[in-house]
This record gives sequence, C-alpha cells and structure tokens, in this order.
Amino acid sequence: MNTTQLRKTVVRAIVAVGVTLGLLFAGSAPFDFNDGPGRATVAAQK
Amino acid sequence: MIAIASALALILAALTVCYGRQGLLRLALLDLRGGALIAVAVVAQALHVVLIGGEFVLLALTAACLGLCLWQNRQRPGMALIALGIGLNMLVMGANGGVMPLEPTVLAQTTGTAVNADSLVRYSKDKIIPDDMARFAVLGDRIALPGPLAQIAIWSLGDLILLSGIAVLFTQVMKGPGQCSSTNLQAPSGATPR
Repeated sequence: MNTTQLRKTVVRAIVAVGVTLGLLFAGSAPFDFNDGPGRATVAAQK
Repeated sequence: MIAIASALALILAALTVCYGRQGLLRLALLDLRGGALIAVAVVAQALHVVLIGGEFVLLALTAACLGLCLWQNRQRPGMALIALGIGLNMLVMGANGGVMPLEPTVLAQTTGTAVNADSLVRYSKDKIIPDDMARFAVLGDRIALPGPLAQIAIWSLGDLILLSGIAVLFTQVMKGPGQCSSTNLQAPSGATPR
C-alpha cells in the first residue's frame, strides 16, 4: 500500500467512525454529566 | 455527547488492541450507506437539543431518517441490535412527547442532587420525569454504570443495546473475513486489509 492509498484508507476509516458517531448521537440519549447542560442542571439544583 | 464519544473511543481502543493496525485500516471497508440520512438525523437532533418545543416533530424526522438508513444497511452485522436500541429509545421518547425521561432518584443517587420533577434539561434530550409519571419508564435514562463509571452518564436500555450493536459491527469489520486476532497481529505491516 503506497502513501496515497494509505491516506485514502485512513480518510475512509475516519469518515466511517464519524458516520457511526452521528448514528450514535442521533439514536441515543444518555444523560451526560460532563456536557455543559448536565453540569449546569446539577449545579443549579445544589 | 462526551459520553457517547467516550464509549465509541473505548470500543475502538479495545478492538484496536485485539486486531491491531490492520483492524483499524479495515474500518475503511465499513462504508455505511445512507450517510446523508444520518446527517439529516444529526441536524434534527441538534435542533432538538437546542430548541424547546417541536421535539416530537424532530423526533419523528430523526426516526424516519434512521429507519431508512438502518434498512439500507440491514445486511450488516450488528444492525439488528442497533435497530433495536434506536427503536427502544424512539419508543420511549415518542411516548413522552419527544423527550427522554430521566428518573430523578437515579440522578440523586449518582450525583447526590435532588432535581425537581418536570425540569427540562436544557441543551439535552432529557426531562426529569419520575417513574410514576413517565410512559415506558423502564426504557428511560435510569442505568448508571458501576463504580467510577457512574460519573460519566446515566444510560437507557436502548443506549446500551445500541452500543452493543456498534461493538458487534466494528468487531466484524475490524476482524476481517475468516481471520482470527492472532493472525492479524502477526500480519506484515505492508499487508493490505482483507
């Protein structure tokens, strides 16, 4: 695999991970303490 | 979003340890169909978490886009689990007006903070709804991982099933056809994926 092929493969792998992350973001809904809203919600109630 | 990205990174890290550099390169073969549909679903959910009101319409649009995308990719491994996880999340959110119910006692146990019922968590998909007021409460955000992992997030059953499906999908792609992890680790560095 030469450098150009390797670069294309790496880009495609990154795109695949990005698309999967999009799928996860759109399809899941965990309550995240570390996101701003989670912290703010918890802090606002203290 | 940090919890989701962390979970994905953890799955990728574990599989990279198992299948090495070749496994990472094989991710290029994943090539999920319906990228545009996923993009529309992401925009709809981004609007959902930013805007208050219209949650149900945006949830319906998200469900339609993800449903089409999952159908296009139905032959791929792990898709049944991914569809089940997303379906459970969409079901409970749809039944609760487009928001994910967050059980306040779980939040109190995890953070030591009592939050008023019916509080809408700004910039998220969650609303604080006690079990007796939520529909399909068992499918809401109520699962805290054990030990220090509990501080990361509170998950729904659908979230965990969805992540399991992603793990199955990535495992099958990174493993490659008909190869075991030991041969992957010993593969020459110049070898092409597959």
